[in-house]
Amino acid sequence: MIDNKVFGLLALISLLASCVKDVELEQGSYESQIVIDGYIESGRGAYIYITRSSPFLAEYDSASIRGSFVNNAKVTLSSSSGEKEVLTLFRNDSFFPPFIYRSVSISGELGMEYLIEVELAGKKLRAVTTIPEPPEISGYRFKLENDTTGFPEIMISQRRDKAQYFFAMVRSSLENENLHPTLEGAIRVQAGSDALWYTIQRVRERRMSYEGEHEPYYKPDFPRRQYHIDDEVLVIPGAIDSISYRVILSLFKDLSARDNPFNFNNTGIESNIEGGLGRWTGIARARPIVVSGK
Amino acid sequence: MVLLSLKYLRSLIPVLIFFVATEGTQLYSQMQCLRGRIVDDQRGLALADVHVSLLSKAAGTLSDSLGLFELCGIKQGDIIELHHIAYYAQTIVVSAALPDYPEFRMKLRAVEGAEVIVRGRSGLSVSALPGQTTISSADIVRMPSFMGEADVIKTMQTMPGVQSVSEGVGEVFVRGGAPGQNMILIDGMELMNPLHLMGLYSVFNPHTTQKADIYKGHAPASLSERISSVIMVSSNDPLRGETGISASLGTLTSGLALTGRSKNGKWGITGGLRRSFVELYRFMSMQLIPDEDNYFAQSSYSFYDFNGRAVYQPFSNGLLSFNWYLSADRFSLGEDDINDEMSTHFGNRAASLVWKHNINSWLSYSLSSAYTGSYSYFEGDLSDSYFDFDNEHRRFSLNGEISIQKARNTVTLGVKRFSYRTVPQDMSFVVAEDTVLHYNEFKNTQFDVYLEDNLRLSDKLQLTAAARMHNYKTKGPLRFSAKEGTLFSPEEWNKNRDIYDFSASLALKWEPKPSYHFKLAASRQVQTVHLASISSLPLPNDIWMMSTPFLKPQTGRQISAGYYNNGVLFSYSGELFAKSMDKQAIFAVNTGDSEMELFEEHFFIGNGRIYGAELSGKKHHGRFTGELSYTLMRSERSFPAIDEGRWYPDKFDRTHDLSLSLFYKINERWEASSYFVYASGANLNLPSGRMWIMGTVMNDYNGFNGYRLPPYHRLDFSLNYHLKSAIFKESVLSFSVMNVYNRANPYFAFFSVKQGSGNYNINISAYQVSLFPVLPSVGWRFKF
Repeated sequence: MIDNKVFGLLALISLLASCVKDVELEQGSYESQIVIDGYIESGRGAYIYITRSSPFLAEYDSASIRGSFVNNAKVTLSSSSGEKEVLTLFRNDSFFPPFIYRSVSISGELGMEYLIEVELAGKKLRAVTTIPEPPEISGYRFKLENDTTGFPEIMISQRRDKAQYFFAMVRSSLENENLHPTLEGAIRVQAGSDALWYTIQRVRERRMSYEGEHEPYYKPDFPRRQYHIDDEVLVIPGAIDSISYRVILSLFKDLSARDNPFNFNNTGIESNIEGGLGRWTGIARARPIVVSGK
Repeated sequence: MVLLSLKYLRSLIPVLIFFVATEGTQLYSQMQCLRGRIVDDQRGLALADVHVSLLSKAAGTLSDSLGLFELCGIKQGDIIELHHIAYYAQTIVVSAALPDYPEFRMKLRAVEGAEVIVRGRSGLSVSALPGQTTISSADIVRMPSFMGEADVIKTMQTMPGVQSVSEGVGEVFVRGGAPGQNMILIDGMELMNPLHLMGLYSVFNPHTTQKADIYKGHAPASLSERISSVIMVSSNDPLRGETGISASLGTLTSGLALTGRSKNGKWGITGGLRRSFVELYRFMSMQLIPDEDNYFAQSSYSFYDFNGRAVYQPFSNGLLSFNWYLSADRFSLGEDDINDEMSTHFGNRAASLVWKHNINSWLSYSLSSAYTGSYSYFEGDLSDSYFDFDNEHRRFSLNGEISIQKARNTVTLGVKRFSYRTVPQDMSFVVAEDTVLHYNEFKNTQFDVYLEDNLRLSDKLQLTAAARMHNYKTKGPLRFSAKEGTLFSPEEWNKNRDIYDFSASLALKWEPKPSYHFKLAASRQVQTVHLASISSLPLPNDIWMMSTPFLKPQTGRQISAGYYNNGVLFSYSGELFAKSMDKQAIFAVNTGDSEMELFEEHFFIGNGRIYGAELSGKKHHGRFTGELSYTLMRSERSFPAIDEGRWYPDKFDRTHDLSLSLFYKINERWEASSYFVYASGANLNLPSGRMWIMGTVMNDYNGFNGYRLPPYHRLDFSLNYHLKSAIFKESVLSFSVMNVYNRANPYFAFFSVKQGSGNYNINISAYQVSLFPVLPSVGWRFKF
């Protein structure tokens, strides 16, 4: 937020209408990579999407879409307790990508380590994650900013012995959106003996839907980051391990810096997939909460 | 500390003896050097900037601020001319009758005298160090002005090796180095934040500026504190320069300077003040435009600088001067509709006291003390959070230097003692009911001893050798309980609080003929301070951070070789250079991602390597003059934390950088000048691939800074009209057009990814941000 302001400062003080225009940029060479987007939640099975990355400026038509789908991989999931399962491919046209590999018999358990191995066109990819302890949510509220708007907040208890990495999915009922991560992607809650309020700031769902963009409830002139008091915000709190945290944080930081010349220095995106790109995340789910200002 | 200094001095004494002893044992049958002093005939005051020319060889030099000069390569019977615009020229025949250290007295010209045309060449360096260039106040005024105002740094950017593009950044990039690797001095005082208006103006008042020198990497030992460059701006000498008032009125700023001296010529003062008047536009716009539509109504910007020097010359060989510099920028922005406010305030405070004394013809010394302070405050009050980020840097220094000047040998020995206090981070961040506070303060001291010798080995060969020892200390001890597994232990920190290091340089100048020469040099510099940029572009709020036991001083090594041809009408030169840098620091803002116990944990540490070539051609005299500069360069960095340590191009690595400045005197009333620049685009870290993660398009990169923006090019044009006036000594109207052909130069580019209208359809667009369209302006400068 602050660095966006600085950009505004520059535009102002030059006393010139700095112009933004469409340009043609040349695409450098890019070698397509296998991308894994997977997670396993406590008490639920594993969900894995596999695609191929594309050159950034490549045309995105139906042929290239089909070319990015991967539905001929062998995906094996194994746990530290000795369970092993080859995941089954399902089709779900309401999401993108429409093919999903799911576990049928293995469900996530707290404290377990999960390994996936993907075999595709002679390549072998692997990734490991763990499901930590879930966050302890000791309260929630809707904090009013004025008569009609405010922020959902949830209270997270610190752990005495170690930091925890908080990852939540949210959904606004008024916006009629899908569950999506919070603004920050994930946050680090340092060790301590207190309970901290975590403010959920509204962010537009970034998911590209199958059906194209719908008419948003929250228009650009609505107070930034705030929810309407009539909204019912579903929050599914969760915890992830430190490696997954670093991966998710790097992806979200990179997204937020996309159109900002004054973005903070960062080191680019990270991945915990050996031989490919993406993320494999173990999530310890806490009880879902609905927060409203009604 | 005293013991330490004695230890250094003891170790340097044999070296000193060697240099002095060799002086008497060298024989030169053909060559002689003439050293002397030039003074005003009536007042006995030292005369600076007198052209001392050897007519037979078209060689020459300039006298310094104490009137001293040295001209070598002469023999008996040669004719030397002394030229100064305000004095009658004088001719000297070299003969055995001249004393060892002659004093020449020059007679002042009558004021109504005819125009004096000074022909000669300046900048023939006595030192063998390459990469040094000087620009004069006349050079600064000749350049097309920006918003009606001449600018020192913009003139400096016409030189080879100094990046000519600074649009939206404003900082100076010399031979691929970073802005924090330049030491920027005005009258011996360092300025740590040398920008106004986010870099649109430099902090130097052109009315008080007499000249500016730049050393591109190889610097004299007394100035060897930065690994990229030293930029020294000198204000008008009130005892010798023109007196009176000069002023200017530009589009955004106005400036004023006063130079005066006492009747007996023993003391004088030069002072300058500049102030922006953006508020005037704000006031006017508020009368015409409703507040809700008026961006100016919600914001304000102002800056000022105030600098000068007061000098006292109690006797002809001694000079006491007090110098000062103050500047501040203030900016605020409020958006009432969303209750957001932000403001920033940054500036410089500096002062120095200097005593110089020439004891006799071969021995002189100087003593000085200086204070430098810079600060930056940033405050943002957003609807859902409050952010306050301040930083400060202060330095107090004591310096002593002694110089022994013999016919073929000049030895300089000096000591410097610095004490630093730095607050790189005084931050508070409030979100909802949580407040995060961070405060870090560092105190450091530094004691340096240096020795430099400029030795003439023969009539064609000259050597400059210098060494500087640094003892740098971080005050402590540090007390904290490191958690298990941390890389940073307090024991290690406390054990390494004392750092010993050295800077050194060796340069050779070979002058087969007076009209051209070659230079070869190698140097190593140590820099104990880091300028840590908080974002991917330099900002006035960037952090000065002193080295600590865990953030070691940065070091740079440079080698260069050059050819220089100095004709009377034309000169041209070419230099090759290569350098490497260690302990380069990038500041990584901790946004709460990890627990950091020490401030040093915020930094990525890496290396840099740079190599390139510079070419320059210049026409000095006549109605039509100009300069062409070209730099071919590669500047790369490597950080273990970025792209697995692979080398990547620096953001401001520009392969080609060409500038052409032309000046034409049409007649007595009109002058025209133009400036053209072409440079390769800066580098950006744009994505090269895209992927689907969590249902959205995420970026993939091919290396770091892998995308080069389109080239930058721009043409500026200016016309000066000299008005006739009975009131003013000089009155000039300046009409300028910047970016004549309205080139939309790229400042930044980004991709926008949006949901399309069809199934799975996405729209990806590339956008470019440009800052300056065609910009006409008018300025008026006058003297009385």
